[in-house]
Amino acid sequence: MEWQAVWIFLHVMLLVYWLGADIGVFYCSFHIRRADYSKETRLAVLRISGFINQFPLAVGIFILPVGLQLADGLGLSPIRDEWLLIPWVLAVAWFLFNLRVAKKRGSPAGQRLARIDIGIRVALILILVVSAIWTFVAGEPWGANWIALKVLIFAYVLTCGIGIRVTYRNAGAVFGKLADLPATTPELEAEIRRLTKAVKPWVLTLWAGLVVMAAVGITQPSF
Amino acid sequence: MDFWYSLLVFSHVLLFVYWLGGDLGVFYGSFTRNNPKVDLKTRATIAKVCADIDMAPRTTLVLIAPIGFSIAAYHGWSPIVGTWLVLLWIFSAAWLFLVWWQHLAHNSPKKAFWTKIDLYIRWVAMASLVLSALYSLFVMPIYGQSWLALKVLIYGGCIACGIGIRLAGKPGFMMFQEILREGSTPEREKAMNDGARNARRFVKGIWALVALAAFIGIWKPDFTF
Repeated sequence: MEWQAVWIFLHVMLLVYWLGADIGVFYCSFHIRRADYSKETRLAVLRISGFINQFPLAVGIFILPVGLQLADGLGLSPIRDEWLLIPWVLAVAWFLFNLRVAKKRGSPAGQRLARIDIGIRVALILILVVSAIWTFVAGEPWGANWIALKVLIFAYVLTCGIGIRVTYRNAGAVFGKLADLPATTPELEAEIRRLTKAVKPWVLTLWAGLVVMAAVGITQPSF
Repeated sequence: MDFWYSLLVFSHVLLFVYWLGGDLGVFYGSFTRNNPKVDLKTRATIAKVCADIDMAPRTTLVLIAPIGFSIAAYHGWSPIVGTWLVLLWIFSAAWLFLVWWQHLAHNSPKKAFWTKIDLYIRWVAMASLVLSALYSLFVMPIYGQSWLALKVLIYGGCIACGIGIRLAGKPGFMMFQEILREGSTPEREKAMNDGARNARRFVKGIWALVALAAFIGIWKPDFTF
């Protein structure tokens, strides 16, 4: 058995728990905004949504080292052999950091950590965009333009992720109010509707990015 | 790569993504639905949310057959070609319509009849897939590749697990309806959770089989018996 098959399988499985799992989160969002439901019902749906959403969050981190392994197997990655250990260590560290961000969410320390996380994402986006564009121009560091295109789209997906984070930054406080208040208020409902509506374009365009990435990976177009 | 072939492979991967990924929400939500500490109205809503999300895996199970067999036909590995392949697409479209009709027609008096027809379709599909795969593996290679025959066998296993969910989960499902109508009692909750536990074994079976089928499709091992 070739290791490449294992990496492709893992790569597809990560897409399963990103794009596939997200459908549950998205569908739950329609029920969370239902003001005619009881508070308990909406919070129960919110808990389910929160649980499922952990998977896309983790996957978004690990899909990069797995993708690099795959690219290395094809001889198209600038990061090769034992150097691949570096993105793996960084991904694990980033994942553990994200667990910390989630644990501290809602506190001032959590807000500071979330800002650092967004800083990491912006830096990664810049590296990905520059490396992809440089490949289109000079033919390196990526060994094929379709890989560079995937890298570029991944940067776009990460940007959508930041969009979601920024749009949803007050979600904890808003849903916290829903939990704490004896009954909902028109202002709170307006805020919930505004939040869920504002985040939707980011989610939909993120999905589109993932779908296009998958299509590029399957067809591996030459251009 | 040929456009239509690319589209088929892409659809095949997306169906896998929504089959396994969609199931995650259904699985986790079922624990809230079955929790006696949660109020009945909430449990009824969660049951509806789970049933709606479950339409993703239900849809993919039906559609993965015509798409998978079309990919195999493209390579010349499938005995289902030409008119037979067109018929498979028409049958799958009709079956998909039936699956969605059952989901949407909540209180139709004809629902019980069509649910039974759907179950028969699953038995026939499962038997056809398993027997043809075994025939291909041990008698004559009607599927051009042994790994493909194994995938067909596993797909038959997935449909078998789906039948298992329906049969093992039915007492629990009926009991849940009774709880919604007449209220929760420890005995009813126990009976419902016993049914759900039995059904979950088949759900985990599907997950393992679907993932295995994907891995075999990527690996494409060459073997003979």
